[in-house]
Amino acid sequence: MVDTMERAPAEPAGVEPSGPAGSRPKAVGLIATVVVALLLLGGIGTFFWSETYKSPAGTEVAQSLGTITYNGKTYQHVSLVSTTYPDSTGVVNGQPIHPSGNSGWPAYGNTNEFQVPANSYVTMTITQYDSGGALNNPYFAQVHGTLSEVNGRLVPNVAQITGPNGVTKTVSAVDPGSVGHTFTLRPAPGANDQNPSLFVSVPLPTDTSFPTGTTNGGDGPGGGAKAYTVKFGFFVGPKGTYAWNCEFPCGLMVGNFGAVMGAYGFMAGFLHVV
Amino acid sequence: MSTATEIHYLEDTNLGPKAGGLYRRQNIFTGLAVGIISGFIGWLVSHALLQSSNWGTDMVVTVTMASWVIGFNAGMGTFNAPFRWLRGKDQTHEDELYAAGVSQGGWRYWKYCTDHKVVGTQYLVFVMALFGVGGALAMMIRTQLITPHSTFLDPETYNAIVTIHGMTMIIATIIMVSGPFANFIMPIMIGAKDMAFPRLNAMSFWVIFSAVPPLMATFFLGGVDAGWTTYAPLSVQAPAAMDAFAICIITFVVSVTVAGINTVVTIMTMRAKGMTMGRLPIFVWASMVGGALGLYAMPAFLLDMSMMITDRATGTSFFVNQVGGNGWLWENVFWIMGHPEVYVILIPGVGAILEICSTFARKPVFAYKVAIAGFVGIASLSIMVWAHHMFTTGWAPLLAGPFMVTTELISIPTGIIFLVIVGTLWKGSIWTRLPMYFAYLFLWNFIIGGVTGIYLSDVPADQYFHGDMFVTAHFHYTLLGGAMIGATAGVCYWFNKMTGRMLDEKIGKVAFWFIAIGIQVTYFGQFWEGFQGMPRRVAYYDPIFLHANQMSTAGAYVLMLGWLIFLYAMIHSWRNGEIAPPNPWHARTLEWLIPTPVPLENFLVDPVVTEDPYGYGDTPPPGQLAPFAEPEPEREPELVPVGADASASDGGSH
Amino acid sequence: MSSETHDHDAGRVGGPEHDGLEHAGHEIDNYLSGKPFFSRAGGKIFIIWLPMTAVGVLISLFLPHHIFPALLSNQGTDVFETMVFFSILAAPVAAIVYAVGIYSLVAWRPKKHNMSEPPPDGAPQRGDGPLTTIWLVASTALVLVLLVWGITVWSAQQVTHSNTLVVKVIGQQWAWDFQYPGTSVVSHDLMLPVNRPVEFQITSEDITHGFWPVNLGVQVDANPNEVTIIRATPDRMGKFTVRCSQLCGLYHAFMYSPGDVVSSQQFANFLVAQGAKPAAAARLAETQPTISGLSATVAGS
Ligand SMILES: [Cu+2]
Ligand SMILES: [Cu+2]
Repeated sequence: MVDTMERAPAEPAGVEPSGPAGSRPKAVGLIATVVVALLLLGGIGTFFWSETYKSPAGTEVAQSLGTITYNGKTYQHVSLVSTTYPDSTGVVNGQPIHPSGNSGWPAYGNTNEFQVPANSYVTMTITQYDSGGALNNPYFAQVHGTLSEVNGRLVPNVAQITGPNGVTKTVSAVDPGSVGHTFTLRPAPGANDQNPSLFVSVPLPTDTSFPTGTTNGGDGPGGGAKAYTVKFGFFVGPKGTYAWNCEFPCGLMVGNFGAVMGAYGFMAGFLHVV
Repeated sequence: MSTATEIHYLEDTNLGPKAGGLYRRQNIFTGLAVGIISGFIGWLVSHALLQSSNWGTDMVVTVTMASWVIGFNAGMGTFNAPFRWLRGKDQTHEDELYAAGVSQGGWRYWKYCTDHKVVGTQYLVFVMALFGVGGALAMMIRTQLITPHSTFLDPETYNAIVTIHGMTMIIATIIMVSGPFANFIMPIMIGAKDMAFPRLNAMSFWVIFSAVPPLMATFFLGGVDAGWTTYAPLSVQAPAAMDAFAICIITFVVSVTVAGINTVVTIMTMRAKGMTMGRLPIFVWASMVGGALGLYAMPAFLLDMSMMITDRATGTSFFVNQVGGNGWLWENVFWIMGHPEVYVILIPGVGAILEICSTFARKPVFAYKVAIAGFVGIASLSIMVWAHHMFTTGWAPLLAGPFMVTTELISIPTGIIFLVIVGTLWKGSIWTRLPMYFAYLFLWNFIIGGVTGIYLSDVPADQYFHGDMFVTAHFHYTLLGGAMIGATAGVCYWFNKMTGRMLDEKIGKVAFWFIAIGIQVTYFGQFWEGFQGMPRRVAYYDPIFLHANQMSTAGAYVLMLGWLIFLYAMIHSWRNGEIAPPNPWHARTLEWLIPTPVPLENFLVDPVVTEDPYGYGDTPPPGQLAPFAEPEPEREPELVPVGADASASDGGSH
Repeated sequence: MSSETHDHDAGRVGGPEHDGLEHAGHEIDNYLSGKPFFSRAGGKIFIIWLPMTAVGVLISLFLPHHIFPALLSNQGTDVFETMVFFSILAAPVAAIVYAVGIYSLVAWRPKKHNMSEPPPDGAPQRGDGPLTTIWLVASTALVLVLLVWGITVWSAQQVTHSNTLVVKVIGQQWAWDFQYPGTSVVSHDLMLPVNRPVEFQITSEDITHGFWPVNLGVQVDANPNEVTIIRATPDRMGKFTVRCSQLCGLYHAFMYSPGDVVSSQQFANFLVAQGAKPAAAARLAETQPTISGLSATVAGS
C-alpha cells in the first residue's frame, strides 16, 4: 500500500497539511480572515484617502464683509481671495505655492479649496500673474453667471478687471486670444434644481505681448508680474460641493488639457458651501 | 511501506547535481531582482537619453516598464531554453525533469515550472490575489458613492481607481477559468500528460505575473483617468500612468495569446487514444472555443495599445482627431477585441457549469452537440457584433441596423446554453452539493444578465442606457454573476483534485448565501441607478440617485463579506481540510479516475477511451485508473481501456 | 468490468460502487418504454411557470412608470415602450428557465439521501430533437420580433422634419454650451420649445464626451473634429438634465447642464434675454404642425 500523501502534495510551499479537519475552531479563523481583510481594506482606503485632496495650504475660509441686501432679502456677504501663478514650484511669502508642485505647471495659490457659508453672496478677487493665449472655446472669454457689485449696484454677467496700468474696467467679455486662466464654477450635480441655476465663469486676462510659456516678464511674487486683478461676485445656493476649474488650455497633450489640467489641486478645486 | 509494489514516481527521480542548469538558481526572487535592476537600468538610460529631448516622460516610462517585464522574465528563466537552443546546447531530459519540478518540493510553485498542475495552481492563487486587489478597489468606489458628494476620494484618485478596478478584474476574469482549470484539469480530462507546450505554459503564467506591477504602478504615475476602456483621445491626454497601463496590456496579451495557442494545440494534438472530438468533456470544448476566440480577439488589444504608446510617446496620431487621427479607430479596434473578450471570459465558465450540472444531476450533458454548436455559434457571432458598443458614438449610423441584427442573433446560441442547462437538470437526480449551489446561482444571474443585454442591443433603448449605470449592472451580472460564479463553481468542484483536500462545504454554503444575495442587491441597485439616468464612472452624483446608490453599496459590502468567507473556506480547507478521495463526486471524466494528488505526468499508464464521460444511467461507472505500472522501459506503455465497452472491444477499436 | 481497470487507490474510494444501472425511479422507465418523456413534470412546471410569467408581465407593465424619470420626448416614449415590450417578451422565457430550476430542486432532489454519496443516476437522456427544434424556432422567432420592433422604431426616429430647430452642442472638459444658429446666443443651459423637432449637432473641443439629455431619451458622443447628429421632438414641458455619458477625465461628474422644455413663448423670451434679436427669436420659437409623412425624408438615404 502506498500513502500517496507522502509525495509532494499539490500545495504551494508554506501551506503544509497540518492535522485533521477541525483541529481549530473554524469561527476563529473565519473572523480572523474577515478582520485581516477589513484591516487591509482600511489600509488601502487610508492610502488613497491620504493621497487625495492634496490641497496646498488647507482650506481658505471666506472672510466676512457683513451683509448685503438684494431684491429685498439680506444675505451674508463674504470675500474670497486667490492668485494664479505661472509655476507651482514657486515660493510666495516663504510658502511654496503648491507643496507637491511640478515645475512648469501653473497653479492657483495658495490653495484650491475654498469654503463659504450657504446662501451667501461671495465677492471673489483673483490676481492673475500668468501668461496665456487663445482659448479652445471663446465662450469662456465671456463673463457668465456673476452678479458683480459695480458702484453699489449688482450687475449681472460682468467682472471688474484692473490691468497692469492700474485702470479698472467693468467688462462682460475679454479678448479670447489673450486669456491666462478662467475661474469656472458649478455646483455638484443635483444642486442646480434650486433656481436660478448656478454657473459662474470668469476669464482672467493676460498680456500676450509676452511670449507664451513664460511669465509676464516681471519680478512679482511667484515669478510673475504685470498682474491683472479680476473682481466679481456671485450668490451661492444651498450646502454642497461646488467644483471650479480653469477652462484655459494650460496643460499638455490633446486639447492642452492633459498634465496639470487633469490633476486635482492645480487648476481645479472645490468650493465647499457649508 | 509495503515492499510488494515498488512504485517509481517520476517526481522522485534522483536528478544529477547539475540538472536544470540555470533553472537551479532561478526563482521568483531572482526574477524580481533582475526585473527591478533591469527596470532601473531602463529608467536610467532612457532618462539620460530622452528626458530632455522631445521624446519625454512617456518614452521613459515605456522603456522602464518594458525593461521590468523583460528583466523579470529573464530572471525567472523564461528565456533559458530558447537561448540554450540557439547556442546549440538544448536542454537534456534531466533538465526538463528539473524544470517540471522534480525533487523541488514546494519550491516549484515559486519557480519557472513546466508542470501543468503547478501552473494551474499558480494561476489559481494569482487569480485570487487579483480578485482581492480588484475587489478592494471596488469597495473604494462603492464607499465613495455612499453619499452624493463624498469627500473620501478626490475625482482624480477616483478615476484612477475606477480604471484599475476594471482592468484588474478583466485580467482576472479572462484567466480565472482558462488559468487554473484549463491548465490543471483540462489536460487530464483529455488524457494528456501535460500541455502541448509546457515551457510556454510556464511562460504564460510568469509573463502575466510581470504584467501586474506596471498596472499597479499607474497609481504612482498620476493614475489613468480614462476607465478600463481607455477611450482615445482622453487616454492620449492621460498622465504617464497610461504608458505603464499600455505595457501591462501588451504583456498581458502576450500571455493570453501564448496560453490560447497552448490550449488549442493541446486539445487538438494531445488527446488520449480513443478520445475523439465527440467524446471530449464539454469543458474541454468550452476551453478550446474560448482559447481560439482569444486568439482572434486579444491581438487587437496589443495592436491598439501599441498605437497608443506611439501616439503618446513618439507623436504619431492614430487616435488624435485634432491632428489627423480618429478616436473612433481606437473604439473600433478596442471593441473588436472587447466584445469577443466577453465570451472568452464566459464560455469556459459555462463549460464548467455544464460539467457540474451533468455530474450533480447524474445525467449526461443534454444535447451535447447542440451545446458545442452553441459555443461555436456564440464565438463566431461575437466577432461580428463589436459596433453595438458604438451605437451612440455617432460612428456610422447606417450600421446601427446591421449590428443590431448580429447582436440580437447572438441570443439564439446563448439561448442554447439555457436549453442545455435546463435539459441537463430535467428529471435528473439533483445532488445539491456546493458546486451545484453555484450552478443554480449562475442560472439565476445569467438570465438577468442576458435579458438586460437585450435592451442594450436595441438601438433606441441603448440611446437611453448607454454609458449609464444600467450597462454597469448588466455586465456585472454577466461577468460576475455569470462567468465568475461559473469559475467559483469550478473551484468548488475541482478544489479537491487540485489541492488534495475537500473544500469545506459548511463555510462554503454560508459564503454562497452572502454572495448570492450580495450580487442581487448590489446590481439591482445599479439597475435602478441606470433607469434613473446616472452616468457611469462618476465620483459625485445627483442626490436623486441616493437611495439606489446606498442599496448598491450595502449589497457590495454583503458581497465582499461573502467572498471573504469563501476565501476563508479555501484557506481553511487547503490547510486543514478533509483528505480528498480521488473521485468524491463519482464523476466520469478522466481527472476523477486518477489519484489525488495527481502524480507528475498524470497517467503512469496511457488511458484508452472507449466512450464519452456522460454515461450516467446508461453504463456502469468506470473504475479508478491504475496509479502506476511496473516500469519496463523496453516495452511500449500498457494501454488501459476506460469505459464500459472496454473489455468487449479490447481497447480502442471504435 | 475490464480486468485492466484497477482500484489501487489505497482504499480511499468511498463506499461500495453502485452499478450505475439503478435509476431515479419510474421516470426512466417511461423514457425507455418510449412514453412521452415530458408529460408528467410538464404540467407541474406549467403551474409554476404561469404565475411567474404573470408576475413578470405585471412588473414589466408597472415598474417602468416608477423608475424612469419623466421622459419628455417621442424618443423617450420609444425607450419606455421598448422596455415594457421587451420585458413582457422576456418574462415567459425567464420564467420557464426559473420554473424548471425551481421544480428540479423540489421534485428531482432525492429525499432522505446521504449527501456524501451521489444519488442514483438520472435518466440517460442525451438530448431531445423535437424539444431542441422547438427551442431554436421559438428563440429565433422571439429574436425576429425584437429585431422588427427595434428596426421599425429606429427607422421612424430617422425621419427628419422640415421645421427642425437646430441646436449646436459643444462639449469640452468639463462643460456643455449650446448655440442657437440664427442668433448670437450661446448658453450653458439647454432650452427647447415644446413640440418642435430639434436636431442637435454635436462636437467637442478636446476629447470625447457623451451628450446625453437624459429625459429626451437620446444620446450621442461629442467627438473633436467631427459633428454627430441626433434628433428628438420634445413633447412635454419640464426640466431635465444634460449629462456627460462618456468618461472625460477629472470633472466628468460635474459635466452637466440644466435643461428645460418650455413653451415657444418662453423659449423666445429666453433667447431675447440671452441677447437674440426679437425677430430671430420669434422665428426660432415658432412651432408649425408637422405632417411627417409629407415633409419627411429618411436620413442617410
Ligand atoms: Cu489654467
Ligand atoms: Cu464629458
